[in-house]
Amino acid sequence: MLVSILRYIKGYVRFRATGNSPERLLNLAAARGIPLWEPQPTEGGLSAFMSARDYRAIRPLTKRARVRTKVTSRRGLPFILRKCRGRAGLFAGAIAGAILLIVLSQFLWSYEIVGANHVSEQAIRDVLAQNGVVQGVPKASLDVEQAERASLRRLDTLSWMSVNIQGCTACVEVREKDKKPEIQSLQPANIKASRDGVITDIRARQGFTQVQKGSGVVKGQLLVSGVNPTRQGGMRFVRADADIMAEYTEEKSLELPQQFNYYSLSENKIDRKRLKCFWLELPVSLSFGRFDHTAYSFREEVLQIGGRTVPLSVRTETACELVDCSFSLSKAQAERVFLRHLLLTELFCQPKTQVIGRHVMVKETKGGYSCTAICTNCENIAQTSEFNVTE
Amino acid sequence: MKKKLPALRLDLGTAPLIEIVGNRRVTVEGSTGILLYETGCIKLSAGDLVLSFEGRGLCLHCVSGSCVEVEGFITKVDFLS
Repeated sequence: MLVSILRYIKGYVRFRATGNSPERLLNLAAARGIPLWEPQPTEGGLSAFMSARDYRAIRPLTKRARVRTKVTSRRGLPFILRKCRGRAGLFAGAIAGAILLIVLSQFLWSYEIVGANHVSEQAIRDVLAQNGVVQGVPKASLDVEQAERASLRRLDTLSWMSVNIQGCTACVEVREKDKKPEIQSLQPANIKASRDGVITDIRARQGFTQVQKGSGVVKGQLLVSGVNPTRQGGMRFVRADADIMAEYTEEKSLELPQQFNYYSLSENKIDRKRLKCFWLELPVSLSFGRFDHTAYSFREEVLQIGGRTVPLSVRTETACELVDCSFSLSKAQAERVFLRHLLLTELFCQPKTQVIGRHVMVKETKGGYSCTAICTNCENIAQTSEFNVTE
Repeated sequence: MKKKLPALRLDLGTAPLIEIVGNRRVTVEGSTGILLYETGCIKLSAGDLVLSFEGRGLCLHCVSGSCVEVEGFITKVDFLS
């Protein structure tokens, strides 16, 4: 194998020797220490391989052996280079390409995060960037172990992290911490009311109910007791567990201005593209327009070849014009706005509360509307209150 | 009176060393030249000897100043002189 490579680098020829006694050429070449290989007898002569330099040296021998030689094929690097002699740009391009390859291979092109199911990947990327693991960083300056330790200290939700550099890419493997299991307390407890209301339903699983269906209760009142006196005069302590459904009324209000001023996006947009390679950014498009009020959005398209991220991306900055708009709210519109506000509040702030009815009132005030709603809700008002048996 | 050595022992110093591996390969050390090179017959000069190898698909695998390696399906080996 090594011999073949050396022969290729030096260049070799296959020649054909014809004459009365081509064997003599073999003898003369062997006697002078000129190596030739794979001699094959052919019609009226023989053919063999010989290095290009030695082929020139055997010319005097051909005369002595009375044979005529002819090169049938040329192989090796010198012949390829000779073909490209007039193409300096080709060599320059090859050298520039090789240099570029060597230089670019010293940097981290991209990295992917594996194992982040509940933790935000962007949060991990931000922390890694603060610790030096960022696209375009020289690999030699990367302290992986320090970055792992520092990142883990910052990210409480992760239990393990490993930054594996493979060539010009890195694979950041993370393991999330397991959630702490809910430990059921065995401490004796009472159930008390979390707010005022009228009890509509009692589902006691443990403990001794102190109220009845239809009873009115106030916040903090004992609903289900965890203490039961025994016939023998002693006390039995349990952990009360119950669902106590109660109805209550709640007033909600919202002040809405009659006149709204806001910025709206118009259809006027300006796109500015920049070619990004590692830390280098070059403008691709030139747009000099400006708006009085502008909102910016950014989009980055990263080049991927064969599933691998290449450090070449086009970053598009879109500047959208903002137009000053005003809107006057009517009473009916104010009621609809308030109703939507109520629905959103119930959906996101009181998800476990069942709304039985609501009465909405909108009053026109100076420069706006005062919206009031009286809602009748039903929810579980049971609140566990632990106590110490030594009390 | 000085006793003469036998002729066989005198020739050993210049005689070629022939190594035959089955009927597929022959290495001749002490060869002084190739006399005939054909696929069916190869004749080698080795000092006072002329060796002839006949067979099918014969070829010279290695040719150097004093060593020749013949490969192929050898059917006959002759010592011509």
